[in-house]
Amino acid sequence: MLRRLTYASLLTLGLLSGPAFAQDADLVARAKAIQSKILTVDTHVDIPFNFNSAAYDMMKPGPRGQQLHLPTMISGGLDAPFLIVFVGQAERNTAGYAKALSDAFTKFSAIHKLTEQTYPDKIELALTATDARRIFAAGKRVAFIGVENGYPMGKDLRLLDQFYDYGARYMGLVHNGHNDLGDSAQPDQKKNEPAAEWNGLSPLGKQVVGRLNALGIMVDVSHSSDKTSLDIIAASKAPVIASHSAVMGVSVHARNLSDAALMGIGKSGGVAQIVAFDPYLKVTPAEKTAAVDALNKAMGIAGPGSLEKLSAEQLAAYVAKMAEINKTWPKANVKDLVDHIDYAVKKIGVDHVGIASDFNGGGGIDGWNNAGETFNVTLELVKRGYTEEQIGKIWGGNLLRVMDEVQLKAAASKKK
Amino acid sequence: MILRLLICTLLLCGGALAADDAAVDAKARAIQGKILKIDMHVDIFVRQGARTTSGYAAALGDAFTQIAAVHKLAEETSPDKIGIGLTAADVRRIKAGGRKVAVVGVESAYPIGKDLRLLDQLYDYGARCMSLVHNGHSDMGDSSQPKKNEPPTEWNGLSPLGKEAVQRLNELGIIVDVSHASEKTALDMIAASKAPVLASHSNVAAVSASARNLSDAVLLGIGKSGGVAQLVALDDYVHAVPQEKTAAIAALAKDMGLEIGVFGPRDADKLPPEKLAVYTAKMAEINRTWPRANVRDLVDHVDYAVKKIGIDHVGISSSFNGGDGIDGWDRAEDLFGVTRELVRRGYTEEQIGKLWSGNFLRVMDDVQKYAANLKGPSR
Repeated sequence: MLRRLTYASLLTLGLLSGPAFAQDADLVARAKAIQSKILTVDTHVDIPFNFNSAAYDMMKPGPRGQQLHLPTMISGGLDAPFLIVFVGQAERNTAGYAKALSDAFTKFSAIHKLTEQTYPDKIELALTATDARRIFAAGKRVAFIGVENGYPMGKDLRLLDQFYDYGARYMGLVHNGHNDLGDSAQPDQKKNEPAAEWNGLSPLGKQVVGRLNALGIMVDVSHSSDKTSLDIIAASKAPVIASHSAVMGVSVHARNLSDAALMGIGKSGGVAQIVAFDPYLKVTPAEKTAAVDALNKAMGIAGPGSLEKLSAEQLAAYVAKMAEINKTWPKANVKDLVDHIDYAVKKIGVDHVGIASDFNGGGGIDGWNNAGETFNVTLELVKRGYTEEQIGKIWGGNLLRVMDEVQLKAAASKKK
Repeated sequence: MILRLLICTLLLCGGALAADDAAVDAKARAIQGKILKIDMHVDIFVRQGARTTSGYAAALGDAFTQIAAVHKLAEETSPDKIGIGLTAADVRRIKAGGRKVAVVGVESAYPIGKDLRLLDQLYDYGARCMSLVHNGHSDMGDSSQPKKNEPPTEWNGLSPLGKEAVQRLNELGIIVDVSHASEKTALDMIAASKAPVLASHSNVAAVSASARNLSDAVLLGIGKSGGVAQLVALDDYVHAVPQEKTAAIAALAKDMGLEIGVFGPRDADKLPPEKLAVYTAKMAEINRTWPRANVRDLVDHVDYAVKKIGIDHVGISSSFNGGDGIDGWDRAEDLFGVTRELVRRGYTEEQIGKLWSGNFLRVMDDVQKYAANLKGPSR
């Protein structure tokens, strides 16, 4: 096992390929040099409800299933993750909205506790791009906050102000299943939802886009249907992001960006953050989907985002069985990820593409399965010939530029 | 005022001379059948914690969990059995339809942090009365019960933010509740409020001295505001609990591994069955040695408050807020013992109706009318 692991990691680093040895060693050195200079932003890392408790301590890697910790962020070179206030779509009634709001604030609280009480000397909350650069220069990791799903606000636009005050700097309007703000890329099949409920963005969703623009919160189209995404791009007066999606042009999946959405994001001045999520990067065989569904069902969980429900033994069993499944049907790897990046760069330019992991939320691929393996992505970008400047943009420069622009627009609109 | 006091005194004298127990019983039963009782004062309560961003966010999360549970109960699980009363008219309509009624109150403003805009959300989710502090000083003002490491006062009463909160509660039509506030904070709240003020669960200090009980000044202030003092059947507010008893309870809690809160051991109901049986037996023994207050003690508080500020400004809180009840009234549903004692003392049907809910509903109406007038006829 040890030998195999060593062999595998050497392979990953490109150190065992004989004649190309010298060339690859050079690439590794270049990639390392680049990585040491840039600020890497990952726009999507989920947090479970036990985040920043004894069960999920950012300084103690493990148990397996948790993909982001401070030591691995440092060793792998993952500097600035957006930690996600995610609430799953449920009933659209008063009790449902109140419960969702409760869940959202529980997650806001965990992030603030991490940065203000638990490890304030190691990680700090950034509200602006300037914050991020200052924090990173001081030798600390950076935490941003993004909101995934507008469901917790119910129909009350005023709550967006509270999300902003608690540090949210991007918000996705929908998740899986349609909601009051618009149509989802993935209607809830259990509820027999139609393909579209609003035919895109709802009137309330349009108001939400306006309010997010006014507040200086980036609008995120990931999880929106293609039509909703296009409507959001049309409605937004500031650059738009896709916080964690891949591209339809490389692999067909409802969650991936169509060329039209991709181009819309580029035209808005925004950024498409390509996500290391296996089923989006390459088409998953139906047999594999069935095996994963069966495993989730057997474990009584909804999916990889709800691993915290499992006991330590159950989790070990889950991880082992998942590894077996992945052995039979290999996961996407870093090359697949960069194929999507290449496509997006060709389509909308290097100024409009970025990277996301979706760690703790189903993300993670061969070669980039936790924060500690982040360097592999940089290395692959170097191998494909991206320059230091380009890699800096892809790894965070673009996102920080968009964040700045969105906030400047909001400030300008306040002055008017 | 003097005349009203005199009438009350006469009535009370009449009560003392009342007929035999059977007649009292019958009369009390007849009254009990007619009065409107508010079944649940749903208390959205989050214990005061750290005054930090993460503390506020966690508290807000907790508050909305409770709000969600109330709405789920009233709108999904048992809409045929219970309704949320947003107005006094709602309360009467829901009761007339044979359902139980819940009025949502928020105990302590801690979950809103320093963000008064959240009061609007609490209103929208059904909150109709709200206190600003609980145990421990808060951003809104001083508590009647500072935490161990806190000075007696932090703000010398209501804080500037607390004053703004009172104004916003007035504008929204949420009743301002002084229970748990220090005496100075309570007086400041009464002075700041332009609408009638409530004490949702306190007793009177003149009958039994307790930091949580209302001084005569506060009691008179509530009366003058047109508000209502809701008296409560919590043992240690009704009468002074001997130190020996408190010590015995603390020792029992330690034995059982329970944390001790303001109301005694916390989460005793979560003990495993064998331990719970032991706990219950030992607690009963403690209560035999040092008896709990009883219904008569409670009605002594009612009598005092009625004499002081009149029958229109006194109420009885039908909830226990997680505390220990008194002998003869342990469960929220079991109001009869109290009604019988009121009848025995000579209170009329009309007066008893006011005490059980009439006064509270009038205050709810008046506070909402004040807010509606502010908004003007166009809204």
